[in-house]
Amino acid sequence: MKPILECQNLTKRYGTKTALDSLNLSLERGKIIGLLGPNGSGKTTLIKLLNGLLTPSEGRIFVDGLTPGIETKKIVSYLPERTYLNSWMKVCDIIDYFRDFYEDFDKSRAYDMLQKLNINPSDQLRSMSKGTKEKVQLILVMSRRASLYCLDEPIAGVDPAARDYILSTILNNYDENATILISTHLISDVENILDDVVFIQSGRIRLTDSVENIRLQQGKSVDTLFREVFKC
Amino acid sequence: MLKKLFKYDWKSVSLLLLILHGILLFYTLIGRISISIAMSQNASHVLTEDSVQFFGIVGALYILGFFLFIFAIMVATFVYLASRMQKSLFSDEGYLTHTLPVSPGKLLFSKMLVFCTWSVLDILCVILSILILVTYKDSLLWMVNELKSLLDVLSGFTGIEEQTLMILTILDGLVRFFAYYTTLLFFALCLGSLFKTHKILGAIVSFFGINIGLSVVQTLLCFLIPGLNPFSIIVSSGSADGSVITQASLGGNKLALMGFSLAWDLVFAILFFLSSRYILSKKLNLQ
Repeated sequence: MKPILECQNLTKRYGTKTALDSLNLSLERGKIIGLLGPNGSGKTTLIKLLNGLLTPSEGRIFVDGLTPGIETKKIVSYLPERTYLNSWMKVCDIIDYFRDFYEDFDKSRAYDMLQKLNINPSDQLRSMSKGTKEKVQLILVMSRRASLYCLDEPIAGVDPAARDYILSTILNNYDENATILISTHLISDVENILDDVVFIQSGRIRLTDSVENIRLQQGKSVDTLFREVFKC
Repeated sequence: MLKKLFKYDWKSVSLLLLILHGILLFYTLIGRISISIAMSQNASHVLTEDSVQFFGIVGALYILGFFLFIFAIMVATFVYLASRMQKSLFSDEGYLTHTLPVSPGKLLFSKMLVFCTWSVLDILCVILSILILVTYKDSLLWMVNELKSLLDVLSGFTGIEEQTLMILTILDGLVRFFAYYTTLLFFALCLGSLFKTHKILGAIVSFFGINIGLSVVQTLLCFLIPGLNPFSIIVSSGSADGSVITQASLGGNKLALMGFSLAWDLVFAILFFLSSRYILSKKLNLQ
């Protein structure tokens, strides 16, 4: 089976600064993978490249064997680290928007999650707090039946109580053949749901391993290992 | 997909523009009612010199305000549409726009369609406002006569050359306004997005820079290519027997000039569209 994500000598430069440096990576299907690294390590750049929001300077990137384009956008559900929704829209308008463009969008699942989080579908986004907007975005993204979910800092802007709900939402709402790529530095919050981790630093892969291996063979939590690897 | 894109692009800009153009029509109606009242007063009362002067000043101020308002609405419509399109493509909203499973060509075309539709509505509103304000018995007669003259030219009653020239002029106006400038605007926005910083300033400089540069090149070509020269050069020379020989240049061919202008606008509109699509599909950099 083709890997869901494959990078071959992937390089991205912003002017003279190299964000990703000849990165080689292959991600299997059906796993929750943590993309972990300090600030400026290239996590967001990698996620943007696989979503077609950036073009590689060198090398190639494949999603389900295809270069990012219309076909890959049909199977990738992306949660950026910023609010990307039109503030003039109501939540119900945005749900209609997603339903119109994404064939895999499950409207009833979205309304169900909105109800559980006490978010009124008739509310306009501009009247919502930053944290509530992030919850709406996560609901939209997780209401798709995608093959690859890319979640860039999904819990950074919400309170700890909501974090638990969000993580359980992620766990309960993805197909077992789907892959979830979570970029974060709040490792202790997410490590319980991760299958694999990819440590990235200065645009290069430092370590790729399963959480089980890290715990059993090294006798450490991912959080502890992260602190050791990226010690300042 | 294009229909869906158009629907959401249309929704995202229309509320404010509807309010803006509604205000224009309301302002016009107030002016029309005021003028009608003033005219009926004038007809039924003998006005003093002071009253005539007062109404004159108020009327002049209203007309000045009206035309400034129309100008402001047209500029505001253009700027608002351009800024909405820029935001939708290259700001945070672009993260959603460019992750939709839609081709960059369709994204661009939908936005251009909304831009053109609102530009037409803007022009229609302005024309309607002016008509509401200035249509009276005398002016209506003048307008009908002018329209008749235009239809005569278009029907070919005044000769085939004039008819062709008029059709080309109208076509060129439409292509220039709806294709050339719209595609140039989107191309400038795309070019601006490639700037490291000051992306909006980059787009503005690109828009005016390309427009001025191409206008200069087009004008130079018109002067350099004999058949397109807008001026007729007449050369006179004396001969030995005292007679004067007059020779005219090939310049002054209005049809060729208009045809060239139309072809120029069309070619560059297509180039701007293809280049914008190329930038969105191959050079997109949402940092």
